[in-house]
Amino acid sequence: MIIPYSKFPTEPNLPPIYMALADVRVYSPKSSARLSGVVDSGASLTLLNSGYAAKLGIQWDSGAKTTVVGIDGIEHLAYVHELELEVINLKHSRRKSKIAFIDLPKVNALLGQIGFFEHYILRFKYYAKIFDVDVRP
Amino acid sequence: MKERESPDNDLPSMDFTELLDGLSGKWVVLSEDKRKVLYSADSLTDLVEDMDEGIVMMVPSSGTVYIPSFV
Repeated sequence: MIIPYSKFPTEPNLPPIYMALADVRVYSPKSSARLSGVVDSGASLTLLNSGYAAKLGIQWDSGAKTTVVGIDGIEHLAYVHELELEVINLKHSRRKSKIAFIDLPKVNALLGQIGFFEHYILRFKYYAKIFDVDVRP
Repeated sequence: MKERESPDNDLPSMDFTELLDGLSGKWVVLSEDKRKVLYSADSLTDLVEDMDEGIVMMVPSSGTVYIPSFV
């Protein structure tokens, strides 16, 4: 499935930024949530804002504790849950996924190696502002 | 909202520069086709009751360049 990059404004002295956003649905045993996450090959884990846990009916900090660190070098606690994730409009894409929750106000959703890249084939064509995602054979 | 970026691109990019103008740093619930902002709020927890109606996104803060990557 081909997905266009999403264009956002940025600083006046820079060109607009394009982000590889994929629409996914995350399932818990009780509920589900649809969100648009950054496809981020540099993220070791798939990471969601803890606010999604309320929608999913789970206690975000009840999962397996782990520590994540960003480019600022600051360590943050995150909690990994065994959930399911599918790419919206991609048939047969629902997979069991380890997804971590973090309580940081500026983190929405990073679709990283564990929980996302491990399940799908991803090809990026930034020059054409598209990427495509398929289920792994 | 959609624009063509390249001759070899069959799909136009999703241009959010107008739709999300004034919503820098906000959390939004977008319609399925991403042409309308259904709800917006300063925090995700304020949108929990509205999430079922669309797709949730955080609007990047203007004036910043996004470097995500957690390890």
